Amino acid sequence: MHEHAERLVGSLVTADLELEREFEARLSDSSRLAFRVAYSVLRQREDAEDVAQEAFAKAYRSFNQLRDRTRFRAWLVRMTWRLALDRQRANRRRSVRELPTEYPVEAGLQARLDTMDVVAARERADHLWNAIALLPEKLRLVVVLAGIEGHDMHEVSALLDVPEGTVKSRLFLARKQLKERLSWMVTSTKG
Amino acid sequence: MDGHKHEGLSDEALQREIEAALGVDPSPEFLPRVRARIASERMQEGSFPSSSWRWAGAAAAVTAVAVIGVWTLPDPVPATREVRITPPVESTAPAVEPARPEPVAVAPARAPEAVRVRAVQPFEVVISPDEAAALNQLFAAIGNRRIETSGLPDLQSALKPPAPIEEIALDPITISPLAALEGE
Repeated sequence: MHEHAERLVGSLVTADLELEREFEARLSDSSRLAFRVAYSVLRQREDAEDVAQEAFAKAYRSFNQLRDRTRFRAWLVRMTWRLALDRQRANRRRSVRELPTEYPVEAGLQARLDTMDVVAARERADHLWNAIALLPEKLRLVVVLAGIEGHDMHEVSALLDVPEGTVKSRLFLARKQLKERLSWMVTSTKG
Repeated sequence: MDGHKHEGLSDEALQREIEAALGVDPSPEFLPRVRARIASERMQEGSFPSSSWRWAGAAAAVTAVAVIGVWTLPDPVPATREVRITPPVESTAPAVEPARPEPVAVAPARAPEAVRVRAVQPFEVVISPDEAAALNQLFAAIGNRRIETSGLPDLQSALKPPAPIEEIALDPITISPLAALEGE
């Protein structure tokens, strides 16, 4: 009788160790994705890291309940997105956004840019982010996920758990709206 | 007109802009910080807190095993079951003066268990609880005259107070003076 109890406890410990290892693998694999999803909403590195960290903590607490572990990334994206939106609402009063120096510009290119170019690049980035922020939530998420880590339609479809056709149409609509709002960028750079 | 050519961005150009805007990496401290957070969650809540129901189930199973083990142990003092109790004797039994007849009259309508508890209260238990319970049952049964005591040795004589000890007469002690030492 006692052997059965010991075996039961032993199997539980083993199962938890396997879960720990699996979670660690998922964490290493998805940390950048979670951060970028949060960053796309918050545009502030510290906040984005906080939110991504919170999402991982939440994921850890519920990891055991996730039946299909291959859905982890989609699950994490949804959680991070929600948490980031919550944080954004909480941060409404914060007026100071991250300095545009955070805007990634290739190092070699940046060296060649003079002050005016840097200012222009910052301005373009701000306008792009503002245009993305104006998109409806569903379109915004598609644009963001399609812009992270080279996700194709199939991957975005899997992350959002919607058909590929839906992703395509959402992406089409999102790009259309963005192009309308950002058309001045082309004209000003070409002019 | 105003020098602005209202050309649209191409999909590729827009995608490049977006990818560049999202090409921000977390700081090098990010991953260690997440791991530390997970470790602290583990410390606070235990390993995978949502699996606590499984641990609760395991704990319940172990407890059940322990309880069943205790229940199946043999009773170390079966004395209470071995007391021979006979139906109340009407007239054939000789009148035996019970040691404490009063408890028998207490709450006769109550269950036998309650009567027994009342009956044993006056006794001070200075032996093991099992033996005490056995003795109390015995006394109660004798008090209720449910046990035939005619075959027992004479209890009355055993219960008699001991005879007083006679006074011991001792001869007075006389102390003789010491003989004078030599040379005094």
